[in-house]
Amino acid sequence: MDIWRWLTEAQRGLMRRGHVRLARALDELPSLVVDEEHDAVDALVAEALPLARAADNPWLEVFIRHWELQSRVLNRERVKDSLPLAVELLELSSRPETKDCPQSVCATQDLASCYATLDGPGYVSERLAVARETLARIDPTWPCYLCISSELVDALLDGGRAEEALAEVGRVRASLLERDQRQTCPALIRPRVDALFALGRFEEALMELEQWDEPASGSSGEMAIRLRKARAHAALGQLTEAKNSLPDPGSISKTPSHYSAWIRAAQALVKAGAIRNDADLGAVLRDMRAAQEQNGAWFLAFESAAVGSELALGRGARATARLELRQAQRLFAELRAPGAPGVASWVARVDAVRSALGEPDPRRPSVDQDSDVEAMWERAAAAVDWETEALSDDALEVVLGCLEQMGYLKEAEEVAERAVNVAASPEQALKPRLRWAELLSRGGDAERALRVLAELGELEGEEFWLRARAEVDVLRRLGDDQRLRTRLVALCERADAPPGAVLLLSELEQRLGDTARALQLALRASEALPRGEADWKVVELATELGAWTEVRRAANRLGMPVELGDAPIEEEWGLVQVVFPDDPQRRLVALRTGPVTARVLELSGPTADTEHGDDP
Amino acid sequence: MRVLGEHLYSSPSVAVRELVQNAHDSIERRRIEDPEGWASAERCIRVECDPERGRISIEDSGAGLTREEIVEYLATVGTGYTRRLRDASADAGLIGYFGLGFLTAFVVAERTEVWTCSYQDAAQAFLFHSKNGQQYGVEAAEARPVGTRVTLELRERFRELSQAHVLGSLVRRYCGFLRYPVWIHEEHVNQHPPPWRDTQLTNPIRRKRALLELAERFGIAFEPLCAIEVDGEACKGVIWIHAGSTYGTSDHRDVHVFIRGMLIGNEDRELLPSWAGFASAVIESEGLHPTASREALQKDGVYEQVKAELREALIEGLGRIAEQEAATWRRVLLRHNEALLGSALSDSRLFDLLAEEVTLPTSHGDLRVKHILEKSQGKLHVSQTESGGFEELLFRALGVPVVHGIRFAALPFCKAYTDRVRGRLVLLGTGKGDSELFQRVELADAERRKLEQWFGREDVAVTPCRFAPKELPFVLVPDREVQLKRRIESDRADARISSAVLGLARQFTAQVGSRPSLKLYVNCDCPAIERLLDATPERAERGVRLLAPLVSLLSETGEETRLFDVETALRDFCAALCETLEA
Repeated sequence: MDIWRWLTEAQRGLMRRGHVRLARALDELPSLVVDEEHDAVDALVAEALPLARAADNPWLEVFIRHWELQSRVLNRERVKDSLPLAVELLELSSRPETKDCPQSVCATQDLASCYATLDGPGYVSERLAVARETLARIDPTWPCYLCISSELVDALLDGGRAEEALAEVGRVRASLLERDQRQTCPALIRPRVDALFALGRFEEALMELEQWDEPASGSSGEMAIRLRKARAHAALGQLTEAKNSLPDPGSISKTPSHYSAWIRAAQALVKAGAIRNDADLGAVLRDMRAAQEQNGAWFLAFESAAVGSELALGRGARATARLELRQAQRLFAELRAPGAPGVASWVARVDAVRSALGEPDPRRPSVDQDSDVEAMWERAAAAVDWETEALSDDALEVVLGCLEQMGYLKEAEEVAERAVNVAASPEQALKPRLRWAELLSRGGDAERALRVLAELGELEGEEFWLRARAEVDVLRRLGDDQRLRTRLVALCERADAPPGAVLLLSELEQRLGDTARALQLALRASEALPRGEADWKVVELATELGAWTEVRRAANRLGMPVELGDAPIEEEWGLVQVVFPDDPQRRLVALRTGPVTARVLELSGPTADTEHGDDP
Repeated sequence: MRVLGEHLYSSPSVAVRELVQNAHDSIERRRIEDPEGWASAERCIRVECDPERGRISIEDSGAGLTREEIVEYLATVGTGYTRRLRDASADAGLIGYFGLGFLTAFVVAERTEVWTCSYQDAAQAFLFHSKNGQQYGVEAAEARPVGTRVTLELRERFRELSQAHVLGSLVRRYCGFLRYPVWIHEEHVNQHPPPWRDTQLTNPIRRKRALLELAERFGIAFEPLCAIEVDGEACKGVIWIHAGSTYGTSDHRDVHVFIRGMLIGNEDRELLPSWAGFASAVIESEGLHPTASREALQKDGVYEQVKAELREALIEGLGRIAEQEAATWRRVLLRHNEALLGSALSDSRLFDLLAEEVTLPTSHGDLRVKHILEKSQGKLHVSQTESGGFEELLFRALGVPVVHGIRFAALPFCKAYTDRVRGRLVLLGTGKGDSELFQRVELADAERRKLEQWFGREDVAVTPCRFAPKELPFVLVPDREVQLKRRIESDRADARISSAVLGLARQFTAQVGSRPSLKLYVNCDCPAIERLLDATPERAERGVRLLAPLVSLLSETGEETRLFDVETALRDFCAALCETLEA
């Protein structure tokens, strides 16, 4: 059955029954997906799904969820959190009420795509089996015939079977011709080009790319072709064309499915001498690799780390190359089938980098600051053996700073942890431990950060407050107001609590709605702080509570012409504009009657016009 | 030719535009080739109509045509002189491209006459005439000033074009920005240049008013609320925000594109960002290239540049309005809140601009994020279902607003906000969300066993926790992962799902541990639970008999069915109550 014909009919039916919004959403969703409008896809799907359920049409739910997965997995590679959704969709689309939906077949492809993205070479046999099983159920007249065939070819490629992949493309094209399924341009250009690349046949690949003319595949398809053109041109020594074809990495940053092709193209351009292999390029690659890893695309991240190490070695950044090798090694351990044919060539490349790096580099003296973080790292790594050595405070700071800035958080945590373990005394372990907790907290592991701090045990004086401040920072970053409050309350019960902590608790209490408590704390802070630093807070809170004595005293401290006493303040301090926190665009003209009070004079300005729809 | 013309142009009214444009280009040609004659001539275009006889005429004081030129350019398709002239002189303000414009005359006219006298031989005038566009004749005509007059005797079905109001609105629409004066009878239709070309318009307030007036002229379907000037390198113009409300992905964009003063069309909505369904624009560009039909644009480098400039102008313009025009900004937000939620997600600068301004739909009405965070202790609770479920009960009791994640853009906006600004996202109905709501408690083994014995049943895992409100003794939540695992690993799945793909699915579910499919969170902060744990066995038993049926009554999860049989629960409850009263 033709999916699009069904969809058009379904939309007409929805329009007739008044489900206009849903009908429109169904219309927009596929274009948004192929045009890589990911945010719009998310915005729309969240709304369309319940509408489809309300319309009591499970076929539509299958359709929406399939396209959502296309965007999440095929474009954004967010496989870690999409795998459960793909399994759910498979189950949903196999139920009696949905199995005849023409889009149901695609649920198998969605799940196969998840595994292809998770670890392509690791799941070759399963992916081939799924694709063949599905192809046996459909014929070339189905729109999904091409998608499933494409997945079959990709699986062959991931299995290192490029010749077979090429033959498969030929078979698919012949079967389309046989069924007279004419396309605007030959089918499966992208997979065929990838096969030709794998075989080193770049001229043919470029010819194939020149035939591409498929507006229906949107800007996503266009970009996939463009990136491959860049690589082909570079491989053929056509430097200008190659350079023009390689997009700015920012233009693909939202679509990780282009990262791998971009990295390979960039490497080809570097090899051809069309672009510079510099620290900036290294940073781009690191960001891409980190995103792939974050998404759970293990094999692709491994590949990127391998290329990253090759490029770093190529530009003489040997310590950076070592860091990338560590990433490659870590990611390699995640692979399902490390010995799979598709992995072998990459392992060989990683090994080549490792042996080129050989023995540790000769030591050079200083750990210096540098404006370029990679250069600074290279110098630091040449000066100290950061992997085994006990580092001085300064060296530790430089090493941690570099690793953190370059995004090697795991390595930074390792270094900090080792510094704690090798410290000669608890006093010497204090700073590294605070730093370690900070790194853990930044990396999102607040609980471990708190445990690391708790291991400091009971401290005295300045050290007590260093620990306390670190804990408060962790809780603030975590955004857990209740735990933050508990901790701050305990801290503020101490006589030596710094006024900053008291003021922080005051602000928290105000946010949590306990204004009276907030005022008490602000008053306490204002006594210890220089004039002006906490007084505005006092004026604000005390006014809200009608505590005029406090308002007057604090206003006085702020230098306002207010007498002491307990009477409410009712002055005439001139005209002001009142802005409402919950409606910031509404401005009213008012008479200021005190430090933070005013009486509204007019509900709208004398010349302001009012229009229909102005009030919510 | 007529057939070709009909295919090329979507609407016959385009004939008027094409002929006025030819007149314009003819004057421009004279400027280049006969500057003295051009300077002393009137340099204007006159459009006239005669509805009685179904005629229209367009007259110019341009270069005119010689007999040879008539034959070469009027009678041969696609060989317009303009293109040749354009190739020769780069700075000319010529509009025509394809030599096809004159074809349109044959589409609408029964009989076409061209009276012309070339500056090259001012003593000799000619008349070109053609019926139906099939045959033509050229003959000497009585002397006339240098220039051309085209007269169309309209076909019956196009006679409407000779109505003064129809012709007038067409000329005003298409030719209102032309640089040479255009007259319809006594009306000078392009007396005022567009604001971006008006050198007199230096006063910012007057300029703003002029832009808004222009927007009003073109925003017939979607009137302007406010206008933003576009002053790019590739295009100039005005963008306006619609006064009518939009919702979510409503797309009411339209962009009127003028090239060298002539309207090409208003179909190129893609020139505005896809998130700007609440905006329209009128732009003029020297560099955009029309397609052969001249009703659409070629998507080349200039097109991309114009697109980028419009996007930039819109983002900057919104920022300026927010900063300087509070009342207008408030109107923009009120009318386009959902659309702006979506657009904030598409551009980080817009996100920064809008993050604290837009409202989110919540169980307490539409609220700004700041407000929600204040009421829910720094957390953004987002529901993903229509209504119902324990969450509704829980949050109603707590007085905490829950964001309706199922409304357009609300959930992704909350995600973006908590990622980039502050606060924590609690996604209700997920395992992670549950662990945020229910704080686990470590109980002594004996107490834990008591709770399991009292409230546990088959396929229910009892978890002691603390949560607000205290009055709620427990909450029953399905474990969706386990439920999915069971469905995928059941024999029924074997019958329904092909084996290879089922194998892949089971690889996933194999990682989900075997555990009960329902989770009962028992609230250790609830006074009733506290008392039960402290009570003597007899008293505890009596209390449990009263409390346990509530598990079923509170177990509505928003799905179609309750998890347990409510009737049995009510019966047990009544029996326990009676017993208690009798005791």
